[in-house]
Amino acid sequence: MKKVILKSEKLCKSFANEGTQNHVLDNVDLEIYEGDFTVIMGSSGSGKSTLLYSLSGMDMPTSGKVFYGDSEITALSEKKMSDLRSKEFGFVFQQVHLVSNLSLMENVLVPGYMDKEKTSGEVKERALELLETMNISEAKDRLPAQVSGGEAQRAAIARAVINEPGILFADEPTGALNRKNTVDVLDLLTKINNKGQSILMVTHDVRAALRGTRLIYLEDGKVCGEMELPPFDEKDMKNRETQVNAWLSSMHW
Amino acid sequence: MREILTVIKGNFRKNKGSFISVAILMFVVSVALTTAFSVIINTNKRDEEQMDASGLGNIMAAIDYQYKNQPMDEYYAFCDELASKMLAVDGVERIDQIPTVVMDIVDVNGEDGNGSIFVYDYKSEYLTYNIYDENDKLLEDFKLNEGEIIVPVSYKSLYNTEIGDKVTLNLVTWKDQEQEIQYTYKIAAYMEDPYMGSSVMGIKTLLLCEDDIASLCEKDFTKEGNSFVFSVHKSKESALTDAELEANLNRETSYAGYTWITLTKAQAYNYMTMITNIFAGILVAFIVMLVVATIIVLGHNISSSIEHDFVNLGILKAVGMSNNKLRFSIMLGYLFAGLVGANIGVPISIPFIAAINKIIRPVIGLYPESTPALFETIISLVAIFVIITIFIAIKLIKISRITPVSAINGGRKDVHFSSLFKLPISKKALGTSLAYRQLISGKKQYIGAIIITAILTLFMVMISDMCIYFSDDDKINDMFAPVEYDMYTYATSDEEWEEKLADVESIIGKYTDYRKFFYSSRYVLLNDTQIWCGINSEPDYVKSVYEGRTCTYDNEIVITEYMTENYGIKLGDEVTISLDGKSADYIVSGYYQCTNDVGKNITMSLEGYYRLVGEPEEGTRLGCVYDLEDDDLADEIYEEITEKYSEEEVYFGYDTDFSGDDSIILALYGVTILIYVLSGIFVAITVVLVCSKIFAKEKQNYGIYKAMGFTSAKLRRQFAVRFVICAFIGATIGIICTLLFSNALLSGILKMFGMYNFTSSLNVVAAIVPVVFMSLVYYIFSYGVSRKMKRVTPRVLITE
Repeated sequence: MKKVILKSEKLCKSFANEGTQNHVLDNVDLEIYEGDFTVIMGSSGSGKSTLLYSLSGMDMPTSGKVFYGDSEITALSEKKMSDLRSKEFGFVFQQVHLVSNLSLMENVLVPGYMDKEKTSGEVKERALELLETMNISEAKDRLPAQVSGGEAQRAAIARAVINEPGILFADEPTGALNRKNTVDVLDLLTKINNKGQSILMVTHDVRAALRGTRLIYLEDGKVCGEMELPPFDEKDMKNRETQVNAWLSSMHW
Repeated sequence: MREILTVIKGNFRKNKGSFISVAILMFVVSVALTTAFSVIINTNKRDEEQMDASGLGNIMAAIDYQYKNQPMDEYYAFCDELASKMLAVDGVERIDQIPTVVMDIVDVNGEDGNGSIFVYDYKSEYLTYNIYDENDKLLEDFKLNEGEIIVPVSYKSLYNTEIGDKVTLNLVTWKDQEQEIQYTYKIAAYMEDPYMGSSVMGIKTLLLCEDDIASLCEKDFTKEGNSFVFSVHKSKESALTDAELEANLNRETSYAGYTWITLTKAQAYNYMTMITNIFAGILVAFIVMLVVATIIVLGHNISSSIEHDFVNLGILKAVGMSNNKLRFSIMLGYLFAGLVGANIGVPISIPFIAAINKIIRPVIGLYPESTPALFETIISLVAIFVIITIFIAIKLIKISRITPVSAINGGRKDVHFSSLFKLPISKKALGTSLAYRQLISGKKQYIGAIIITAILTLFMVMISDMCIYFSDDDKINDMFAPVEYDMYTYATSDEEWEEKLADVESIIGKYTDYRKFFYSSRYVLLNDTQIWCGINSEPDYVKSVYEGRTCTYDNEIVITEYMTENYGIKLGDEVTISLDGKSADYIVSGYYQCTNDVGKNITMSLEGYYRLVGEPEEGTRLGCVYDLEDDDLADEIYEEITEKYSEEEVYFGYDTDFSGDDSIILALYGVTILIYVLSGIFVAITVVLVCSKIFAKEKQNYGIYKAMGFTSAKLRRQFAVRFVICAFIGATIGIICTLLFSNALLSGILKMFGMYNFTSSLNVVAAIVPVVFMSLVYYIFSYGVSRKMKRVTPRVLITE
């Protein structure tokens, strides 16, 4: 039996727009399991990014609850929420969002430095190791504006996992990348998932979705269906693609 | 035009904070400018008006009461004769011989008084003064009773008087024998004296009722008074200046030789308006700096707005708006905001003008109006707006560099920086090192804030410097006196005076080493103009000679720049000096600094003086001055000597003859508070404006930091720390600028009023207070601006 790591209950999110309420999430009940590479799919405007932001505590839901383990994150104080983001959650954005005046290495170091239990040396060692894993150690002293989008996104992933989070959230991490960089980033995510890292990713790219072990389909703010897949294996790509496409067709994708 | 108005409306909606801030900045400038101009113009106008209304002429001359050994009738006859001679001089229309009782002030409200006074009949046919009650309300048809006295309003600050306080005056009479009689009167009201009312003037005018004047005359052997003041009225057709008329009168009648004080209208005007002009000078210099600061803020704001609205500007270009139309719409927006602020500032300055008038009234002795000087203010504001318009036009040139495609594609510039000051991000001081990194990577946007802080700090430290200076008697004396000394003796008729003086000097020597020399003054005629002349046995001690050299030889004098500016006498010129009917020629050997008679003075050596009046007779006694090496011991020395010897034996005193310093300091504190308040408002607006722009620019980074796990409080502190660093750097630069420029700036301002010897007395506290003040204001307001960080989630910060 898989362990639930993240859970939402009757999660709703509405945005007020010139007097009218736009209901983006509509009573979403969802469970995310430990070790899974969960992928949320859906058409544009289906609410998948909003769901990701609400589940990760990056945004507050209008109503409903989100639990990380036993703690209800929607009821946490700002201080506790910050602690959770620092220690348990990692986040990768579509537009990379590295701090522009910090080098790639420094971008990775900053969240590491926030962990009081680790020494500076340990954090630096871990950061270097991650940058090497991500194959960007040579660019470590460059500013985000001086590297390619793929390198920047890999640095962002390194930053997200430096504190070995309980779960890594990724919002369209390949959305702004070219084909080559997309594959690199997806390989990287698959690699860390294989090491046991739980990942919750939002995407509308089928190639990215193929990396998931559990796919969830969202339509008009509601979960419409889901499917499970075995861990990603490149050799089984064709079969996996057919399965996913068939499922997506059934979801009216 | 419609499209421009639409764009302006849109700009107002989007950047209302910026426009409001610009309006507030211009409001502050307008209030400060209107206040300063109005105070100076109203004061000067008031003095001119009241001089005309008072009935006193262009020259006021108190004819010496040399009747000690002669009947008063002869004095009257002499005055009549002198007046008729003067009346015959070209340019003189009328001479009023105003009877007065010259007395000495003994005590006011329990405080020792100092100086001579003219007591006039309140109902004098020659003079009219405005009379006020305790609350500065003009009293029409005021009735002055016996035993009551009207004093200048400057007594409020000089002696802390209230209505009902007692004033004791001393009358020296020789009716039967030489004797002094003291009279005490009750203050019934205050008067506005446009000639001598300022607290910086030693001689004052007081008013008594007719019966009291008669009673004084009865005790004396006089009729209407014991002296005459000649009020010389220049004819309306005369093109002569007061100084030229004075010179003519002296040339043809030598009248100054028979006076113990003369004062031209222009001189009185200079004295009366001196303090206001000094303060206003400082304020005007401060306003110039405020305008510079406003322009810097505006520049920063325009640059940030263009960067912020890059996409919109590109879209507007794409739909056909020309560069000029875009520039015009942005410029109109800022000018409109500035105009609104400036217009509101003018009427709002009225209470400020009233408040400053209230502070300076007891110092200047006048009741200027509290209405804004509209014409001068509007002209100045127009000039400021012209400068701002040119500046905005230059700043908006960069709009032409925006292409629609580059703008619509994002427009935001990548961050590239390489700095010598770059430090690694440290785990131990994570927040501070991140704040520091933000600062050095975006240093351009903080430079404006640093410059503004430096300018405001310069003024805050400068005004504190001036306060310290004016609080220090020694420094004030330095500024007012050309030579430095601490104590003096006058010769007395005591038979053993010389032995006693030797003993006095041995007492001084017991405490500290000292320099002893002769130092005195006389009024002399220089090229027929009455001039204060310092006489010094040690010309080398005249420390304020700054060009040429001191008056070493007996045919040399040193002069002030005032003499050059007003009488055309220059270094190397030969001048004729006369006294008591004797004349001698002297060469101007140098320029020196001395404030006596608002700069209308010269100094010569004792030998030079003897060359003019002849060698003294054998046994002539001279009083001396003493410059103590350790002047802190002056109190003890004075106490010991005055306990041992009476005034009749050895007249011994301190050199503290500058009056009015307390009141000036009070007024100066008022100006200081005003500058601090204006600086505080200005810094607050600047910080809010600059912080808002920087926060808007960096809020994505804060969202990222929040997503990493930073708390809002930590990020807000980090944000504020950056501005504290800015404040610290700016304030430090301001202090360095103060050290470099304050002396020159303040000296320049004070020099205009005959005060040449200003030296900075900046101390650590005066320097630290503005640094702490600036840092606090920056911290509080930048922390406040960043409150949005707490209110919104990381997603909003990142994606908004």
